[in-house]
Amino acid sequence: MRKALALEFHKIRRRRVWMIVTAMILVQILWSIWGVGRMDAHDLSQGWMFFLYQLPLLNSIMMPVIAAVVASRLCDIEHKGQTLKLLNTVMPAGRLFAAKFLCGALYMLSAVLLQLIVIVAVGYAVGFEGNPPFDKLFYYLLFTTAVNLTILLLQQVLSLLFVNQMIPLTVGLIGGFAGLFIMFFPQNLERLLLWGYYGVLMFVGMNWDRSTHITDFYYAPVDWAGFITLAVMFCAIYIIGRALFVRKEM
Amino acid sequence: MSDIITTTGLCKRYGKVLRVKDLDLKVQEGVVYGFLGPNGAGKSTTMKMILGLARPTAGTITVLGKEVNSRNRLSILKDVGSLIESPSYYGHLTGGENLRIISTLKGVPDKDIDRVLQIVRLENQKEKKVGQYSMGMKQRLGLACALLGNPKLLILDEPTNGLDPAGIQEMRELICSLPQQYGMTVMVSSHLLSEIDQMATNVGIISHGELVFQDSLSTLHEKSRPGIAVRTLNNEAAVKILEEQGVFCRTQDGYLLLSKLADKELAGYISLFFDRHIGVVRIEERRESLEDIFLELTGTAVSL
Repeated sequence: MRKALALEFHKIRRRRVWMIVTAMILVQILWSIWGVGRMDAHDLSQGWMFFLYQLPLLNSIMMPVIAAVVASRLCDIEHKGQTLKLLNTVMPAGRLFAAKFLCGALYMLSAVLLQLIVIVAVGYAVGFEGNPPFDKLFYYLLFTTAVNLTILLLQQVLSLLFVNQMIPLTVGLIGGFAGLFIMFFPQNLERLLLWGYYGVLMFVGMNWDRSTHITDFYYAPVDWAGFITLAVMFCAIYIIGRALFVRKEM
Repeated sequence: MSDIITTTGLCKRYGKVLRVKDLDLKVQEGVVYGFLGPNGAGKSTTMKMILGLARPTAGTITVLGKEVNSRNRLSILKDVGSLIESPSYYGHLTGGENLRIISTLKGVPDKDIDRVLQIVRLENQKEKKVGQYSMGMKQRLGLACALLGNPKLLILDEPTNGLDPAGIQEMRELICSLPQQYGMTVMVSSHLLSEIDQMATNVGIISHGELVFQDSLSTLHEKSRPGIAVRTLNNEAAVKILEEQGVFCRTQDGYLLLSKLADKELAGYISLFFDRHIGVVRIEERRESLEDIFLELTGTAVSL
């Protein structure tokens, strides 16, 4: 498996997949600088919560697009050079599927890790009150990665099954918008849509006082039922997607 | 010689159409087996089934003495190199990098890359991106890929497709040399009869998914029936004379075409023509061409 994973990285040399991740982090750094630049003492006291509230919203629109692009970049090389019919004679299709997913997953994981570094760096630089809430940051890493990987998996299945990459890319784009839009609906509806899970697994809430115009953030209980539902979705997509790919005739 | 590939009752159905019907192939070890058939006859489908890229609807496939199933497929294919339809490559990687991917997956040492590049004469293009290769170079890279690990069997599907005449000749010479130089068995498909005629030692002809001929190329040549073509200065009168003698002939392009005759018998008819003052200007022995035989076997016009 390690050999197959190393080959996936070898195959995407000069494809600049890392640029997509870097570009996203740059956008988020700019957004953070813009966001924290207008903070007063009250805002700084709940700076960490501010990030943990805002980033899932930003992620719900950006991450599906990144997942779609990463999956597409990893898979379209096989379609372009018609390499699947060769690879299928030298390695099991299931292993190729897993290696591709792991390769994409490492990119998605590094995106979230970079986000965390940005959060902590900006927090210290601006002077957020208290130490970084490492337990909450860990939840953020866990939940964001879980949603990212499930979306990446779906995108990979689509990118492998369809030669025309416009189909998975469009699904990624529409999914991202739908995920953001559905946050305005009751949470039961949000649970039905994979892209809505950035919102489902948010654990910071916001109260906005109409008269004082003061925003207060608070920690909400973690929605473990939502996390389990997401895990079930992941398993279902993996089993069905892998079977479809393995059974596909060249 | 033992058989390196055998198929028994091999069938493949796509929807309601049976693309391959009860195919019983026998490819002997150490030969260049030409798999010939018109476009859409089922050549690629058959080769894909042998490689496990398509699942047979019915029948069995034995490669290198083992019946192929989903469990042992990859271990059998370790000794098989393939090039199906167009070559497979990563255009953004160099030729060497492309080969390294397959050599790693096949567990072949890196030095084998240089060996196969030398065989296909691409050693000077190793560092060039494959996207910048010409079609012929891509095809040769595909062959180099198939040659990695010195497999016992090569399955090549239309390897000369898209090549210019010089490239076709080069590829043909390369394929012909493989059994002697490396002890490989080659199964090569083509819709071009002339190509198979120049490359193969054994032939299988497939038409509408069915095997209509399978034997050595020399046996196919023997099937061509010899005949005599005579050109006279008055063919009409000559036909009448022959009919009087009870000899059937037909006229084509100014020639009288007769079936094979004993020399003495033919000499008798010619002297009859002289007696009736019909000038004889040509007497030729003709053989039915391979194209004619192919046409007869497949009922399809052959591409030349």
